[in-house]
Amino acid sequence: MMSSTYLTYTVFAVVCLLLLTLPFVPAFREWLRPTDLAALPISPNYTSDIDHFARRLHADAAAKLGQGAATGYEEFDFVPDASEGTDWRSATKRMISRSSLSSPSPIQSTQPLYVQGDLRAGPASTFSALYATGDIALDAESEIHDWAHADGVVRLGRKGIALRRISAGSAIELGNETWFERLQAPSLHFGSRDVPVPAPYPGTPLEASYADLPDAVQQTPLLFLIRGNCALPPDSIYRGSLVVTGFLTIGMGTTVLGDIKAREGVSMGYGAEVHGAVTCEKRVYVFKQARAWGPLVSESDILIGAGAVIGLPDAQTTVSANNIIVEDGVTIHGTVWAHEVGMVKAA
Amino acid sequence: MLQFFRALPLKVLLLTPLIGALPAFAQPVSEGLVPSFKDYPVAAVMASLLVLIVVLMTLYGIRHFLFTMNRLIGVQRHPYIDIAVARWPMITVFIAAHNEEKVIAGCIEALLNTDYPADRLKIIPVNDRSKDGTGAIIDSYVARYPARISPFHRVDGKAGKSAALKDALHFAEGDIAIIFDADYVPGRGLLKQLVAPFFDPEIGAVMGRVVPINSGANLLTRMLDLERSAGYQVDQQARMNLNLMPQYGGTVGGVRLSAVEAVGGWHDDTLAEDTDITFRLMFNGWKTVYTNRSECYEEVPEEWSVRIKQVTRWAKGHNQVMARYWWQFASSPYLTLGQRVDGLLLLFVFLIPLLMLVGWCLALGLYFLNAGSLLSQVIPIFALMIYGTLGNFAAFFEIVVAVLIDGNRRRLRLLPFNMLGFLVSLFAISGAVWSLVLDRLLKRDMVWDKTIRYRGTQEATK
Repeated sequence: MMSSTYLTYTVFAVVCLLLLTLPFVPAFREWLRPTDLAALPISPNYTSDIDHFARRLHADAAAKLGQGAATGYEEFDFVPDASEGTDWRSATKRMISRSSLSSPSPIQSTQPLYVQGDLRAGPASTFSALYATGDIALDAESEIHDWAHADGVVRLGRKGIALRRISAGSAIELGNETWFERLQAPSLHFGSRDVPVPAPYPGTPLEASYADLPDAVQQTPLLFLIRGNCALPPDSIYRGSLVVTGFLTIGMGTTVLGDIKAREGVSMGYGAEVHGAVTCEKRVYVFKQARAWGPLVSESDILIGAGAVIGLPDAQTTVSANNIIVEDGVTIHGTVWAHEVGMVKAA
Repeated sequence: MLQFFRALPLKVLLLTPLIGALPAFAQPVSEGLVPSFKDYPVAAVMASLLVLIVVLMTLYGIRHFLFTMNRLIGVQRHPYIDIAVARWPMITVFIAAHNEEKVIAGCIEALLNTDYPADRLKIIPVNDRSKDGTGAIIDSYVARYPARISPFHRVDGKAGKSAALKDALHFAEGDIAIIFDADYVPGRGLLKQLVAPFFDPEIGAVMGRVVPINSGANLLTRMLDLERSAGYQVDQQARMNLNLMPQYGGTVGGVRLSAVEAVGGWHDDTLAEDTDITFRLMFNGWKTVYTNRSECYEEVPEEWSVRIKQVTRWAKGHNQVMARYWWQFASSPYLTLGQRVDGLLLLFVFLIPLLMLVGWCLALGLYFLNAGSLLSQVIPIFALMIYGTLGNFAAFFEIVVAVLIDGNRRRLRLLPFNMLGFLVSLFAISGAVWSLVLDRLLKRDMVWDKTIRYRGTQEATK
């Protein structure tokens, strides 16, 4: 009886010991003969520049053309001078065009294309990646699948699709019903260029203070906090920044000289202006003719009404949200980043 | 006996058998299985304490598990990471340096190469009473970049990083102060990433991710690499995702100076000024933000003695903050329930090792008090089950998921060794708690123990 008890205890102890020591076998092996000990890589030169890929293609093409330092990635084919009959789909290497390209019929290129000069392509053209040292103009229903960059202007006709990154040195113009993800240029114009300019807001704003708003708490000399919803009355000027834990409504023609944050949503009325950043955890509505200096950031959706202007020509900014819907006639200076869907809506 | 049962809270009755405390009540006594507090006061009190400790440990285990699941299947929040183009505000970058001749040049060089607009950036190396060549290295850079670097040579005053920074903050330009320790090497785009959240006027502090650069140096650094991975990749990011309480860590991060001023200024009487400011900001209506993609290298301790000193300093500083603010935090009108619970668990986290040690002693004591009873033989099975599912599993699960998200795999084989690190921390932290109590009783000043650097001396004037 006694020996059986001892046996049980011994077996139990051995099983426990085995369970505890078994995981140490690979542990000791990894310690003594390391196979995975490098520090997590962090690129010292990492930035989120939108034209990262464009600059790389430009560098490779310049090297191929003898206009830049070697990069080691100079495998290109040249587009024939009479490009009209080019079989774009059969290209196996990246392509370089040594002069401007203009094709009234569609170009459907599966390989990245580098154009020295302007590129104009007919309706329903498709490109994987595209760089032009001049302007890019793609007619209706054209698609860009990876990225495109023009040192001048990028114009995309109606019902286009601009996936991933589109950047331009001067401006980007997207036609109505175009889908986009990430855009960057000194000026971004959405919708048709001939849309009538809405009348400017007629009111004259008067000085007002956050301190007069219900339940306002002064956090710093230039910041007020309001718990719950808040409505800034129309035709007022508020100085300083404001945090609202509920929904913030900025009345028509009201100007805020500071940053605003509202957790549950923001509505910028017709002709309202925010000379600072607008951040929100939910949806942001920017009604027609409203202006925000930016950045304009939502963790949900942003809807920008006709004639609204975000950013300044000499102070570009960022507009970022999961979904961004922009109406005809909107101008944004800087970057737009729609994580899921961006769309230009006809007014 | 039934009356005794009715007098006990239901939860205690339910949890007692699970944690193996039942044997304490179940000594082989003539009246039955369960003794009363009256008849067996020591065992009963021990068992009750053990129940409380196990409940607390379970809470922490569940928290770890929820954080990990959130990183696996939850919505990931990076609300400010897209802000790449903006009218950037004026900022001041402080480099905390005390005898940092081995590393200071690397940090200054990296900051000079940043893509943040140079006319909006002021760099202040805070040379805190250094006895080595730190001051000379800083001055050599000032000579070359007089418009960009303004040195702050501190020759006397209170010891410690928080005191040095408090003095240096008076020289800040702009409302945003970004702080690095001298051994950090910020990447080119890091400053913009750290400043971007401050466009949100509600943000009082921002924290980036710290990555060990010397992870492969030895077993200790490899274990710390796993721990850091879990702490940032899972813990901090999950708190950010869940809108809870990401923690500002004192380096690779920044604060809004007007917010710091509004909550009582920078405190120099604490060993954990980062935790101090995090909690004061939170319970006064400000938010802290963690940006997981804002990564920066640091050195982790390569010797156990250094590691123990580091953990001891963290524990003392953190518990100091806990003692000061736990009630203000618990009763703040600005916090959601989730933030309150998460913040309190975070606040008490450096008490847990001591409690766990006490729990082990209690469990052992109860076992011997019940030697011979049938149920005492079942204790190990219960203990193993609970430990395996809630305690061990949650923390290890967190490390595993973090390392996998980082794209590594084979280093996870070292995981069993983390038990060793855990044991060392357990005793170091418990010692720190005891030392803090003695400091308070004997009115002793707390001493700042600087972490040793390992990088080779750099050519500062090349």
